[in-house]
Amino acid sequence: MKKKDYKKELDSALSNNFLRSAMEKFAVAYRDSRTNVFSTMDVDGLIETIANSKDKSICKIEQMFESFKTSAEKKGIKVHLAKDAKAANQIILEIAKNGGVKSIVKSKSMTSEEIRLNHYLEDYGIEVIETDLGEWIIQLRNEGPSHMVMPAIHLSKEQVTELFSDVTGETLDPDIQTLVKVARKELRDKYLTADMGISGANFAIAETGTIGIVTNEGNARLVTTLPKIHVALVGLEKIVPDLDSALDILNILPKNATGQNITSYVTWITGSNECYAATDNRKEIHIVFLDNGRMEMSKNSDFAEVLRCIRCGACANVCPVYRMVGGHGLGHIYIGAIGLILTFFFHGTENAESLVQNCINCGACKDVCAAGIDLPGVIKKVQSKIIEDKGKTLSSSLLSKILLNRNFFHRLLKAARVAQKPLVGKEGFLRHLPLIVSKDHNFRALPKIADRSFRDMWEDIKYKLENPELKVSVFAGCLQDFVYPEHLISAIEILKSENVQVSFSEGQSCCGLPLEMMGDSNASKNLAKQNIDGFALENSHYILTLCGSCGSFLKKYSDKLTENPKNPDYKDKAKLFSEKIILLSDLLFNVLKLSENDFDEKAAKVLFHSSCHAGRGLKISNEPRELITKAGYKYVETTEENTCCGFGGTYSGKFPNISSNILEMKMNSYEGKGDILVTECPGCVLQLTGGFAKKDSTIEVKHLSEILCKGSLK
Amino acid sequence: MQTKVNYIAEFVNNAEKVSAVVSKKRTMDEAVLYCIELCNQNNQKSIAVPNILLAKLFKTKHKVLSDDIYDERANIDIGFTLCDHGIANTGTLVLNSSNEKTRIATMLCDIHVAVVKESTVVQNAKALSETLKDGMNENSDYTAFITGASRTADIERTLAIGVHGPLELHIIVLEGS
Repeated sequence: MKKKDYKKELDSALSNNFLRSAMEKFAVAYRDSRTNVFSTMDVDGLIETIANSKDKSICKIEQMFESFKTSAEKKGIKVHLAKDAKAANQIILEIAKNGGVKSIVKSKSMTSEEIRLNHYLEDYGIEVIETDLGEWIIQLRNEGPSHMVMPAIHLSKEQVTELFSDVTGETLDPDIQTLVKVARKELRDKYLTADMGISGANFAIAETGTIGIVTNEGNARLVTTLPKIHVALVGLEKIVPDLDSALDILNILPKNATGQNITSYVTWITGSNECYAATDNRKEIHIVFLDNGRMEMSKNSDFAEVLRCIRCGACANVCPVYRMVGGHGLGHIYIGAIGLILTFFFHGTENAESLVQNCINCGACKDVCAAGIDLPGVIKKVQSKIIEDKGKTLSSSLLSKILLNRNFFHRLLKAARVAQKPLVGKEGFLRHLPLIVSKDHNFRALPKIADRSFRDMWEDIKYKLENPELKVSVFAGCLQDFVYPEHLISAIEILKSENVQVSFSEGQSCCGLPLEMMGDSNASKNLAKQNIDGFALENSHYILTLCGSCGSFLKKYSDKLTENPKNPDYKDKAKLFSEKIILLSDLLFNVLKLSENDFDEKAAKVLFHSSCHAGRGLKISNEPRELITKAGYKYVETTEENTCCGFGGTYSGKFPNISSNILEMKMNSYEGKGDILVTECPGCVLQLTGGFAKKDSTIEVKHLSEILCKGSLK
Repeated sequence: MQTKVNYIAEFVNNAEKVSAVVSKKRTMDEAVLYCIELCNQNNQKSIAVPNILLAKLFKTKHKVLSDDIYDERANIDIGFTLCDHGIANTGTLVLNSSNEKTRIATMLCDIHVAVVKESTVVQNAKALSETLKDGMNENSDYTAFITGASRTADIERTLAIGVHGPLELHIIVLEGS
């Protein structure tokens, strides 16, 4: 889809009131029920078990298939391997033709959506009825699913009522219980008369040739019982070695999907079962495994982890972008973070190109993934691959040229400071947006570039301690260096009073995250090298950052630079560099151990926003909250503290309308609850300050360093 | 013994959370009476009992189906089965359904009455791993985990019970068995 058309689709989702309220309720309810259902469990341990067991299976996927095939065929099941969508469709059509099949009942299978099986079979005159309620609804509407587990979550009961009134020829009331009974009645006959049942499978157990199907409605049981033929369409990644591995997945799948302890039904089918509708009372069972690029993926070290996915859909449930636009806006057939990735592999660059850009990189999905997939990381790799395949886009190559030339970049920022002068208003915001930025960006006030950058002020700030307790080198980061130098200055004041020697190296530049976000991984590696060269590592105990985003990316330098054998020199340096990176709150709370005694009691009520890359990226969660309390403020806890603010660096430039809607939701969660909103990332400060300024709110947004300083220190 | 009792309480608690109606009985005859009473209360006509020996315990005016379950598959009101196990931490019943009549009796009925012996309730699914594997090593096996009644939340995420499977699940725990 063209970028322009895609943006139109997103705008239409953003203006769909029912969708917006349904998504909002779901996001909040899911978060609570997931927390409840895992309350007494070691979730991280479970996730690790699944990741390890899946990885073992993925690297011997062919062997696992052979072993499943042997076990299942011994028991009268025919096992097929389809290399792609077309082959799978043909195999299933052939089975249907041989069995004289006229009508098929189907239970839910995302894999069948992947290959568009229904359309294929219908083109050959076979009736295919989806029996999962949500799937039946979207089939009747000729739509695709908008969630992997709840495919019709985008529709209102009024829309379903209208649809079912057409089906039954009666005028129905918009009552959900009635509508469900309509489905029960209408579909019951279909089960009883169908010639073939098609299901998916959540597990294929190699040891015994068993498939396992997880459902709530009970339709898979009927689909696999009544008709004389059963075809299960299964992605190759669903093969597990044994029952115990399947039970481990079952332990987390429903909990992570919907916050349910377990689904109503789990059905385990082994061998050709008793079936009165079949000749000789034995059901004809076919299991069609779908490759469609999975084998190749399993051999690619960048993408093999994608095959760990157990299709729980949690990555969509927690995604702030999904919360704004729903699944049709954030997926092609597969939805959510995993959908962005799978679309590229299964449905091509054309369908993935615009879609894969729509990740705000907040890491919420990675945090809940049942199989521990680094979803944002893989999305970045897909973006890079698309860029490599097609040649760079203008904006990313221009950005990489600018950022890689530090002197030029800094001159450009200084020139921009002069150029912006006629536009700057009294409060230090830009009055009108420069023409280069479109009106879509007007949802928040933009800050001006500071009169003097931090690096220009450094000569005046620097100091020399006789016997410092600790030596810290500061990584300024673009935003704080050029827009918010006051954050850095406040931090240095605190550190100086704690007998910490702070130094600053001029040779440093941008951390490289903006380039990574544009999918330009090579350019960001070059920036990493520049920064490592720019620091005298041996002279400091820590490299301090006041930005969660810079911090989490600087921490990744070691991973980024160790993988390239061409740069043996950087391997050790990068490791040392990354190890020394520390976020301000981590330094103050865990290393310097600031206590209540260092501060006075204050009256202000402080709200908190956990920057995504500080909270989820660097796992710094308690530290800033504790510091707020220790500094004598009244910390007021709110519900969306850990939700992304909608900034996402370059994301807010690419998708301003989504960014502004996420910001609105965030601001609403704080309004009227406190005086100062504190965070530990200048990007979040920019987004939130700009948003509140536009609303004339009384809430002041501050970087953590600013509230810990300003004379608050005794 | 102490732990066993706890499993039962946990099993009952978890089953009730997903709207199963749980009661405790001392004998199979009492369980059968419960089922007949339920049939009376709901003005229902037929009870499908796939296990022929259990079917013989039903002394009632209602139509009791057993051998003829498949032929009468469109006319089943209540399904009555003895389950193989209970799983405490999820409130789940384990029912070997390799026999098609068992599947039909428990899928096409309006009410499923499931009996489970106290002694067969285990803490979690993994505790049944070896037993389940024995079944899966057979030439054919169809095993169902059943937790509560058939449900959906596909319309506006509102819970609705009884989509394609039973509208109600009644669990009878046979004490001291």
